[in-house]
Order: sequence, then C-alpha cells, then structure tokens
Amino acid sequence: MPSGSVDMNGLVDRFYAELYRYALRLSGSASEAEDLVQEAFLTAQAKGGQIRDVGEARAWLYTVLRNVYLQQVRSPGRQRARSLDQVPEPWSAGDPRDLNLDFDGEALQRALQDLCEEFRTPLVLYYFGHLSYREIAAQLQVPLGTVMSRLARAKGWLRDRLTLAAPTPLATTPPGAAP
Amino acid sequence: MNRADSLPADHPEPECEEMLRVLDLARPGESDAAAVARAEGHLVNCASCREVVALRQQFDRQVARLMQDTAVPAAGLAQLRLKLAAARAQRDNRAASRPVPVPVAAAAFVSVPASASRGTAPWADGPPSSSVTARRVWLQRGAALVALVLLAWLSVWWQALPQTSFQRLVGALTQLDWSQLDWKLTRLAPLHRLQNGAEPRLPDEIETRQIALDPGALEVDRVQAAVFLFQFNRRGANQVQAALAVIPVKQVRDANARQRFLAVPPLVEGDLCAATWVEGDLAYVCCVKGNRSDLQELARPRPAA
Repeated sequence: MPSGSVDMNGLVDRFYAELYRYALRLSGSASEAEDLVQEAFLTAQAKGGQIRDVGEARAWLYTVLRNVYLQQVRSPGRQRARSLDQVPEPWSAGDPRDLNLDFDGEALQRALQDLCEEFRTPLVLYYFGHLSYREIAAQLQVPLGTVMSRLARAKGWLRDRLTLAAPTPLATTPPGAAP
Repeated sequence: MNRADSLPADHPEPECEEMLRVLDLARPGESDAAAVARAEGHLVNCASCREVVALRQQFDRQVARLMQDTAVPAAGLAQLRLKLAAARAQRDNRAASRPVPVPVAAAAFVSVPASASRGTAPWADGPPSSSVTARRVWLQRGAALVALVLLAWLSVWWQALPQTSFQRLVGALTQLDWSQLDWKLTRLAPLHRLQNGAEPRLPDEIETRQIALDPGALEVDRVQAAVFLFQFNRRGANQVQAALAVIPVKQVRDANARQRFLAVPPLVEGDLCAATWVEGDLAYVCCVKGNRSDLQELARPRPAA
C-alpha cells in the first residue's frame, strides 16, 4: 500500500463481517453475499490509493458493494422485488399498540426480499446504524428528504409486514388480481 | 394508510400522527432538535403515543438485532484474503516485468534517424550534398517504417503468448466451487488432451490412494490447466478439500513468466494454503483449504503395498 492510504488487511479485519451481513440482507443469499464482499474488497484494493482514512473506507466499501449488487439485480433474468407502490398495505386498520414482536430472522429476510431495492437498501443501512442519514443519502445518490421519505414508508411497511399476526388474503393479493 | 399510521380513536389526530412520524426517525444530532423536543413534550401528556413509541422502539431494536444476527462464514474470509494476496502479487509482478510500450520503443527507435535528418548526426567527412541528404532521409524514414511494422507485429505476437503466474492460477482455483466436487467436469476438456493423448498423470509426491479424481480444465491468461477438485483424509483429522492444477511447462513460453510461476514460495492466507512445483514437463499448483501441514500431508510417502 502506498503511504497515506489505508491498510487493506486492516480493512478486511475490521469491516468484513459487517459488510457480509449487509450483503446478505441485500441479496438474501449467503453465496451471493460472499461474492459481493469479495468484489468490494478487490475493487477497494485495486483503487486503494484513493482511500485516505478508515471512515472514508467504510462508506466507500458500502458504496462499491451496493454498486456491484445493483449490477447483478439489474441484469436480465433477475426477478425483481415489487415496489412499495405495487405492494398492497398488509394491514388496513388496527391499533398500533397491538404490535406482535414474535418474528425471527427468516421472516425479516423474507420481508426484505419483498421490498424493491430503492426501499430495501436505506432500510438495511438504517438498521445497521453505521451510517448517518446524510451518508445514506450520499450512498443512494438521492436528496436527504427522499431518504427520509423512503425510510418512513419502508419502516411502516416492515412493521406492518412483520407484526401482522394473521395476514388476510387481501394483504398478499397484488392489486388488480382476482381475490 | 398503514396500520402504524391508523391511530386508535382516542388519538387527537393529526397531532399524534405527526408526533409519531417525527419520533420514528429521530436520531440525536441528525434530526430537527426543535421538532423532536416538541414531539417529546407531546408524549408527556399522551399515554397512547408513549405506548406506541415504546413498542416501535422495541420493534426497531429487535430488527436491528436480527439484522446483525448472522454467522459470518470463516471460509469466505480466508478465501478473500487469498484472493487479495493473489491480486497484490499479480499487480507487483506486472509492475516488475512490464514491457516497454510499443509506442515508446518506436519513438526511441525513430528518434535517431529523425534527428539525423535534421543534420544533428556527426558526419565524418563534412556536410553532404543536398541530393545525398534527401536520399539518406528517405532511407532512414523507410527503415523507421519497417521497424515500426516489425515492432507492431512483435507486440501482437507477445500479447498472444500464454502467460500466467502462480498467484493468478491460485486466484482462479479459489473461484471454483469446491463444495461441488463434480463442478463442470462434464463440460471441461480432460487432462490427456494437454498431454498429447497420454494417460493423465499425477505428481509422484502426491498420495493418490484416497483421492477421488476426475480432471476438469481451466483457462487462465490463455494457459490451459487441468484441474482436480478433491478431498483427502488428513491423518487423525477430518477431510480436507483441495484443488490441483496441472499445466505443461512448455505452455509458459515466456522466461519471466515461467520464473514467476515456478520459483515462488508457498502462499498462506488464513485457512487456505497453496504451493507450486515442477515435475518433468508438468507444473503443478496445489491449493488446500487448510494449513501448511494439510498441504504437506498430500506429499507424505506412499504406504508400502
């Protein structure tokens, strides 16, 4: 490594686990997550001289990983998750004090996979808690207000989806489909 | 409207709704402090919102915990370290043996006759006549053109030479899916094609008795390698996964590349270990998901028949 740039082995030690978890939540597949993380670090090493400090490296690695992921999800033949606009609200009425918190990691992953990428990524970044809202906005290359709006919608949707005790058929029927 | 936003009848909408929205994304130092303070003030007098906020915070904590609650496979980390080391070695090798670019070489070659044509060459017998100078200039330009064509052809020929390195081959081996030992075997050329139809041959040092072999092939930097993915039983330990690549030495025609490929120490990165050696006219690269002792286990003496 040239002087002034960060040590790649140090970055791997420090960020591999969190990037893997991030990749896993984005892709939903362990093997894809490994590939994504490897690609991110290999890219980082190839352009390592551009990274000057660890804080910058973390955000940069997240960006690279997401870009690699986006290339994959946008490739032909990949099934796309539905946009929130296409997903009917799983709950149309009820008391917000009736949250059922008895859900597990698998249910969480299934719910995330049902979200389209533009909502899933900020949501995952939000719950990872490593990046500020401004950093998330920079990651997604959208205005801060857009991030907040997407997060509000995605969080609400996720709460409804995961805490839904007994989904009604209406909740999972796409708009326009026969009941 | 989703369920979280549909407040119970005892909520004085829309104030509760707005306060809950503010608090849902409130983060210290990032949110509008005044708006958060107002929302928190609202909570003091609104038991329903306090309950909703508490539940949502509990929900957020659970989601955050589940997001992180994933085992990280150590094999992936080891594989990444090896790939990074291989990429570094490859980069260093390239930097050390980078050939002079054709345009630079050509420019240097042409610069001598060009400077001579401007009269800067040290003529031995005084300045030549104008007709002789013109003839010499044309001759020199012709020679330069021929040299350029020759250099271009050499460049194309050079680029077409198969060249790879130990690190590049190890990197390629790590890309294979070792968990499926029958990986692509049906679509790959067998080893004997690389050995002019002779029977597949394994290195003498490797104990093959416990190895279920079926060769595949891999192309790295235009070098064809036969590949064996296999498992072997380490003495007193579990099975170890390994990959063995075999290439005819003559395929690595460039002397520098051959040196890079054949005279390198073992590569050890995390849980992966690789070594290269030569036997006769074949070069071998062996990579195991284990340590040096696992690699050496492959070379233990054959048991007596």
